[in-house]
Amino acid sequence: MVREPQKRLWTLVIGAALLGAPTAAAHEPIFGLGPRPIWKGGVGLETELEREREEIDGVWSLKQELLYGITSDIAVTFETPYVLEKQQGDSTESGFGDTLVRAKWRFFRNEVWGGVYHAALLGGVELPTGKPSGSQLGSGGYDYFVGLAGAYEGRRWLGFSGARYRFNRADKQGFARPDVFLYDTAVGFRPVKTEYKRPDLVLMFEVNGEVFQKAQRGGEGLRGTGGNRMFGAVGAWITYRNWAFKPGFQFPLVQRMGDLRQERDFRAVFAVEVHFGG
Amino acid sequence: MIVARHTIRLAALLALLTPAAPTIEAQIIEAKLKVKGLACPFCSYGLERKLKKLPGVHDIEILMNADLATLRFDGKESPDIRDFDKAVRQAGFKLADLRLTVRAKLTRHTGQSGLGLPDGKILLVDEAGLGRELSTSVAEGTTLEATGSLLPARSSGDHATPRLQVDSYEVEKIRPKLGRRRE
Repeated sequence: MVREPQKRLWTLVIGAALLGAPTAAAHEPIFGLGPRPIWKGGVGLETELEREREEIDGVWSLKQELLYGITSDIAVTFETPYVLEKQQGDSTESGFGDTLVRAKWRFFRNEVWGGVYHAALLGGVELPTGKPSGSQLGSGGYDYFVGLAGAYEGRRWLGFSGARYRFNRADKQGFARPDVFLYDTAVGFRPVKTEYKRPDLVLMFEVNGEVFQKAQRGGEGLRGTGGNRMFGAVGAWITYRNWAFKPGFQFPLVQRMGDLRQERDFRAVFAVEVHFGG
Repeated sequence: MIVARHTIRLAALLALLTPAAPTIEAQIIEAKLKVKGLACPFCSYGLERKLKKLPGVHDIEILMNADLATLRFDGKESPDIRDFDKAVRQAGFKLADLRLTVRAKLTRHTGQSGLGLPDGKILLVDEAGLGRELSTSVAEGTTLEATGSLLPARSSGDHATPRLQVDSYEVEKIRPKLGRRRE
């Protein structure tokens, strides 16, 4: 049996550790990041509705994302989540979460007929704009992440893989949320090789993993924290010219969360994205 | 009433004698770009955006499964040859081949045949294939329509002259310079 106060602590730890975890933008895995930026001067706007449920707790959130192509290989993204409803036990809260600023540098690209092999370095900082008290809409500190993503994108098949490491800094009370290592691999399949100016469909199958270090208070590792979770996911990219619609559903495969088990039941997203400018 | 009728006839006559749309003598009529990296229609939207910005583009057709973008020009403006590569690169793709159809006057440039382009630059005619025939059998100053693949310049730098490997050409028939013929 899990003791209720410890479980509440674990909920806060995991929630805060993953707040603002980057999700889909442009042609990327639904629950991960890919190497594709946007064209030089191009602008992308994305709205993403997300539902996440962990045992009796649940979150409805809306993310707004702005993407800008500095060059055809460097892009920056600003992401602001708004938590519509965060339910924890009997209490519910809503408000802005932490704003994430991230950059992508595609350092390798090899275009072939009908496809591209490419890889990018990723990095970002999360600003403590969310409310850190109560049910923890914000982390209360600056967090950073670095990562690497690679992909082959072809007319019929697509393959992605990526890894990120998230450095979660301690808040003012000396509570250090655990660092998180995230990894993703995804396969995409386009049933029909559609022409330009035709609606396009790509089916996505993903595996996403999260490995948590121990949370710390005053330099001491907290008991029951640390562990790993692995999820499977199915999703789709439905695009028409500069518009993209991306539904996705993530479900647990493996969850080993130490003594205190905070298992996620599911996570579902629906994103709408439009590209313009440049 | 008689004055009004005469005015209408005069206006109609003037309309017939007015030159057609202001076309430039030398121009790029069509460009076919073979592009590497065209994987998905959504990402190719950036290519359309960048190519549309080239001066004089009238319409664009992108064929994903043929890795091809075809641009047709309005005849009023033409882009610099190097702008095609720049636009494709800025969209995040790679230009593998560029086929141009140009209307230009045949000129002689440092002992070689060339086609005078709208921006005042010269597009050299590569001596391989039909290029030799064109150089020897067509008189200098003749306006012609030539199609071929663009070859890289033999030297680098801003003054490097690109070459066109001509695979078809047609000497332009003399057309009446004034007036628009009634169909």
